[in-house]
Amino acid sequence: MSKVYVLGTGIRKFGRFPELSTKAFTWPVVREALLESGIERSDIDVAYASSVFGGSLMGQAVLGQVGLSGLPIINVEDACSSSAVGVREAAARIASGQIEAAVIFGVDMLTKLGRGPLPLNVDDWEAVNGLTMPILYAMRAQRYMHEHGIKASDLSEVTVKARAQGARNPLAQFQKTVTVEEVNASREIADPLRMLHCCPTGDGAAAIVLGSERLARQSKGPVPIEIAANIFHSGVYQPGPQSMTTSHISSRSAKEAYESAGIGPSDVDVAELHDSFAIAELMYYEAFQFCAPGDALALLRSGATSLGGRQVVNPSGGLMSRGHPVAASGVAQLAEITRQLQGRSGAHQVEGAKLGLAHVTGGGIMGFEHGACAVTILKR
Amino acid sequence: MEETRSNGGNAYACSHCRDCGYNNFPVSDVCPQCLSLSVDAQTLSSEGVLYSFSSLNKAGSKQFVGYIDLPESIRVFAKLEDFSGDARPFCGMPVTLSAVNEVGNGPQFVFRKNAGVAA
Repeated sequence: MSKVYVLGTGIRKFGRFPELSTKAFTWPVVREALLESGIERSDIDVAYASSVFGGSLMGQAVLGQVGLSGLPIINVEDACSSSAVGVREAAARIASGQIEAAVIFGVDMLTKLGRGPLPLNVDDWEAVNGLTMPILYAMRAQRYMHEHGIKASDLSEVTVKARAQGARNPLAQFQKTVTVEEVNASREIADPLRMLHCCPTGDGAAAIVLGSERLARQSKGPVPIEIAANIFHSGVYQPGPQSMTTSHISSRSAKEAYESAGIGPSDVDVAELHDSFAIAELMYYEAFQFCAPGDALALLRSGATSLGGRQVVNPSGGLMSRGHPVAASGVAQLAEITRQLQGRSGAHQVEGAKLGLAHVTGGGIMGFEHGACAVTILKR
Repeated sequence: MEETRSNGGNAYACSHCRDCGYNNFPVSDVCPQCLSLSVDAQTLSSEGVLYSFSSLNKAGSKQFVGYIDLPESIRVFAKLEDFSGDARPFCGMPVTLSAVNEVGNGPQFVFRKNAGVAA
């Protein structure tokens, strides 16, 4: 199998942009990624596009604006993992030698849906009975608190870290720090989660260009970043009891990604984890073996996962602070990690980062822990 | 192709595979374990254990909800009644079915804590 590289990245500030069409909102990130890669549009063999809530044929709509048409455009939906799946498919085709270059983008403009939790499938029995993603994660939090003896207010420390890091990232939706007291005083959404324990409703888009080793050698842009591992799993159907504090799909994906890259958890300098809710970041510290089960809060409090720490998690602010416009998140994480490894992240740069990972998982669907999970390891 | 069949209108039921014994919920006409179509609706046990819980917060009201683990190796999402203010559910709490309501696209289950269990 041939090596695959990230050659270009494009990402715009996440936030609330209801005045823009999705097409107008998104083409700039594709243009940025193409120009940064330095390769010609005629060298792009295939494009993958993702938008969970934007409607059909989003790829054609956006790519037509930047003169990319006539090539195979594949629209991919897998909930929160959507654009990461596009990356996986593109990388596999480059690695096999079928193609040399691909552009992948993801976008969602959640402000067009109004406020409140994301709509789930109307045929889903649990959704019909009122289950939402905040309630699902709240039940994870409640059980984690029961098993490991932490308090609801402890979750607020995750938010404080996320907002502090997001405040240093000009592309993050939230640009202000918050205190534990402010988080604890925010409105309860689903016991024990409060508003500031949840990722926001917002708009975002990101794109990357992947290329072969030959194209990487010719690159005149920022130093190409190698994809060292790329793992994807769908959830396993299980209508019966299963742990909600151990993420099976993320743990399995993390383990396989480490094995594929030939590294261990302690080798990771920087990670973007799927912190859609405060409890998620703690659970995923454990899934990625950054600490033992039950030790996540202690790891957070040690400062190891904060900027300046030994293993920084979500330097961008993560989903909690940069924002989580569903289909954009997978590629946004990869753009973030790529720029971190290139030393281009400004005030939220993880100094000396050589190895990073991105983890996106999600999809609320009855009988599955999650619909889909992707883990990508990048190295300089 | 087999036609799908009704499962008898039993709202509080799982499907039980006569060939491999696998239970599925909501009721389905096919066994996901062995693909058999020999599945029957089987009434679920009325007693279970609260695995975890949260709340539906609407217009100033707070309705506790949670996942109930049942002996048939089925987990159901349900409303929890008789909890408010300082009376909170807890993980591991024994619960009993108190109502099955028909609401739109499917049944809604309501559980309460077993008599004699302290909140």
